[in-house]
Amino acid sequence: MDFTLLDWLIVAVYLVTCFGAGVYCRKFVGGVEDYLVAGRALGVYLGIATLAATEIGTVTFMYYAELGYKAGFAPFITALIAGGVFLVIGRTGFIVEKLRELKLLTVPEYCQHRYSRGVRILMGLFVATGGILNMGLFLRVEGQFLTILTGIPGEYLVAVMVGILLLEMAYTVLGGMVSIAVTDFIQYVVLSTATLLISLTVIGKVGWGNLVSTVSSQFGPAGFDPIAHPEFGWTFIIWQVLTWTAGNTCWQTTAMRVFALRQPELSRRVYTWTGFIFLGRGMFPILWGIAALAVLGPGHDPVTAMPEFLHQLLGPGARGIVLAGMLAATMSVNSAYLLGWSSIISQDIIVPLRRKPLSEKAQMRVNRLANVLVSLFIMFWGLFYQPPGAVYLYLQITGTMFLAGTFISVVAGLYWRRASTLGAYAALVGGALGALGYLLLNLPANYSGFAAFGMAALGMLAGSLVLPSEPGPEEVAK
Amino acid sequence: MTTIWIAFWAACLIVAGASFALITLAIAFHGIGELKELVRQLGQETHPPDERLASRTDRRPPLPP
Repeated sequence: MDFTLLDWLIVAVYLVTCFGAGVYCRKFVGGVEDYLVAGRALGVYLGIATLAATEIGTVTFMYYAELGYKAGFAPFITALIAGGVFLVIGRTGFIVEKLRELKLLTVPEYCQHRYSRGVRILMGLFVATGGILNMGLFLRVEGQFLTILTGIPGEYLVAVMVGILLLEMAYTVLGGMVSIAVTDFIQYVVLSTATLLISLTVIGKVGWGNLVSTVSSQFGPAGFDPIAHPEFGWTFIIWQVLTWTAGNTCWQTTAMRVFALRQPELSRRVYTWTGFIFLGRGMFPILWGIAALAVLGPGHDPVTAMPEFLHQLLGPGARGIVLAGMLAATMSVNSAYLLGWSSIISQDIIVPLRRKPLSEKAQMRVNRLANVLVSLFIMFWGLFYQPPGAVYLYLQITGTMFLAGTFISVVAGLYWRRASTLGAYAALVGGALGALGYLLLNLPANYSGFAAFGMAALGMLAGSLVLPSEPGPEEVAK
Repeated sequence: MTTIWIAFWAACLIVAGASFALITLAIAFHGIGELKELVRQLGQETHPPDERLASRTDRRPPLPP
């Protein structure tokens, strides 16, 4: 254990503040709408803070740093695409503004409006399965980071994982989105401070020239050029544009932030500014991974090289701020994801399957129970599952499993009058099958991801042409 | 070609760093006000939970059967 009293004091102040705020906010939760979308009362700044904090976790830093360690500067393209897609959606309001106008609680709920109850339930099943698998690696990766940074012996990894889980469950289960929005604000400020502190220290102590020469000697021109890099190239870039467009619009935890905004128009401003944050969200940790390669050299475990490097780099005080920042990142992501996926289970699977409607109190009880069950699953999955490749690719593919079909169904539903229920079913199944190629058949991730979107689009097109939608009441009246 | 990529990534990093810092400052400064407003708005409803729920049933459009 290399932490000083000052480091622990910083971490303790952060934890007490955040935990206290989260538990305090439970008293503001009156019904499902408060619990899941904070009473739709978020403004622009709180919206940006909660959206950014939700999608910046320790796991984010770890998988991006892994890419930097393994491939140099070329993976910067992923950050550029993520940020660029946010900016385009922010300027156009593509999908998100329309979804917010419908006052939804979850993305699959839209499919009951547009298609049928069956499509909603199937989408709920796919989204919950893919989402929970996606989250399955978070705890282990986060636990690894925290043990290495603090110097806690590796045999306590499980205890650290349980500690993280209990901490975030305590206020997520009780206070839902209201607690999350308030704690996300605190967490965003703390994690951003830590991110900037690490990045400035890395540039200052390792040096830009050293980073460039390391990448040049280890990878050659492919370390800088994402098109020339064998693991990236044009198919990867197009797949990433599709995945990020789908993710930024139809990913439940992201969409919930849009649903929680005061007005639909605010979504454009929130997305535009978040685009710039997402540029840094990817580029900074990739830089830390490159710095780890420059200082530690090749041959280390690419996942744990970055925390090992930070452990060496940071002095007393700075370590405390960074640990507080990483705890903030961990708690904000995990709490939001726990709420997001459990809301799908309760709202889109259990509630629609019941013949008798559930009371709001009962819905919240189901939500809280789903929260606890999802937590237990990710604990065990994280301990026993080993991904076939880079963590980043595992996360992208498990996301694509449901995103491809969901995105195509939502886009077609919003912008194509002929989109039909059969088309939506075919899109969901086609998207999931395409993505499974990576997990079950060991196909390259970019081909598998690309195929998922292609099969989902073809499924929607074929299904809608074979069995078009019956005209709605408005069209009959015309 | 490599030199162009290096210059491009350096420029992107500068944009990312500057905007990240500025947005964080803006959120820290203005977010406090929004946070107070959110808490005030949610706290204003002082009815017992069941009455509060009943008063909110008109918030969302009904789903088709």
